[in-house]
Amino acid sequence: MGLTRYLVVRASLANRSMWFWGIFYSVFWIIIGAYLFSKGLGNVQFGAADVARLYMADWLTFVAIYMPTGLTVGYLYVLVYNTGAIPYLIRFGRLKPLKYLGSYYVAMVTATLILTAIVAAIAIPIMWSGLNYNGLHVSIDSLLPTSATNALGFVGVVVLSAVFMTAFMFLVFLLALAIPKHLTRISFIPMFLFFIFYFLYLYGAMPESAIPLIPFAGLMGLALSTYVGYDGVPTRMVGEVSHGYFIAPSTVPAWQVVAGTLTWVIVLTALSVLIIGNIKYEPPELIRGEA
Amino acid sequence: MRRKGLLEVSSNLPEIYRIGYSVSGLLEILEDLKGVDRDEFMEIMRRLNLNVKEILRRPVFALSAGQSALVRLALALSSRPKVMLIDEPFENVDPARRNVVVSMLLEYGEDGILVTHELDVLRAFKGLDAYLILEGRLYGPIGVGELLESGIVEGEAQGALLTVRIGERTYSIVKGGGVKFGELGSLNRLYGLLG
Repeated sequence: MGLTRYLVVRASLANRSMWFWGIFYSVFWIIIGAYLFSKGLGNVQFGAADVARLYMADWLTFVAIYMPTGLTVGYLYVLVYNTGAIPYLIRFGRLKPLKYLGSYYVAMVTATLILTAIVAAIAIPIMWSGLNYNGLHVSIDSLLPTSATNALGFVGVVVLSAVFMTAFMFLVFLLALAIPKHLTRISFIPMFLFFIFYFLYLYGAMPESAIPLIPFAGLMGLALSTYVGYDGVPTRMVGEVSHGYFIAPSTVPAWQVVAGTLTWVIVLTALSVLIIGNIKYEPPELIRGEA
Repeated sequence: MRRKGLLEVSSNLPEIYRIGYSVSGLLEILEDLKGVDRDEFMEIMRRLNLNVKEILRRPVFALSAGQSALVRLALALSSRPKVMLIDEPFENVDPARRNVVVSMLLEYGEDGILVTHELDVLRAFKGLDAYLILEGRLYGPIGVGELLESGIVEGEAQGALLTVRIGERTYSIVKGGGVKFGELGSLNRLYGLLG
């Protein structure tokens, strides 16, 4: 529990960079989304509540999938700087490779849930205020998930995204061990991929086959669909509005996305156990590019 | 009789303590993963006359060289190991605290290896065996007490306790003759004296 508690509290919740780049950054863009980007939504004549809910879901999807990529940056540094300690603690301590991995999984899920909940609690009233300001008159209930079950489903997707991001982080860790002096750039790979797929999903339509195969896209769609209550995972994030009518996008079955993501997690976790068991010490001088 | 910990081997090498950002974070992790006893750690720090509250708050990298050596030693000993692998525990440590370090090394553990250049502190370990590493070559064993009473002379002497090679030359460690180890203070001075 000591390592897990350290990662959740000291490395995440008490980390000022995480508060700035995780919470403040997310809330900043939600304010922009609420008051600036939503200006055109005042023209919606029918299904205003659905539009409001979908718009809120789009933004919370951004937060839910972005947050663990931010945590990954910090955790990767911890992983790389630990390379001296881990073999010693496995051999002469109580650490086992699965326990080490498990600590990161639990920490990532816990920290992601807490940070996402904080942002959601701030975001919903801001969005309600912004939408009404721009002429889309809806109650605050319209911005919440369709039902309690959908809310739980959304929480489940947040957990799944944190689990996937942890598994992916260990793959990125392999790369960081190979070229430690590029650790800073490497640690942002998950975040870069998130933004690439987020904007592809936001401004275009993803091919149906890509959504179960690429968790970055699939998880965004899954978060959206559970929040809004779609039967499946939509192929585009923003619904089209035509002649005042909201047109729902085509969908992919949710189970395919969950199965695809879990397959990635299982494969990457198995690889991670091998990595952790064979870690070699990387001196900090190599990481800082001094050697 | 001090209670033995479950986790038998402890070391104070700096690279194995890069698992937490601050000393308090490090302590929290090692309590879980190495069986470090927090109360034992606090007691050791008190004996070393270090300001525990201030040191706990500090990032590990912000400790001075002496503080880092003492904190790492305290963490290594706090798991009450059976076997200790201690590297240069006296380096950058002021003379007053060196005596405390010596007494703690004698108190804790049953077996182990102590690596040091500091010959003047070895008087407390007279009953133990010493090995010398000179230019990457290992020589020994020789009793610590014997070593401190011996000196080093050039050439191969009859009845030498050890024969060593430094640079291109051969030297012998003999009782009573030559440059005495007990008077050197630090093994580093040997290279300067032998030229």
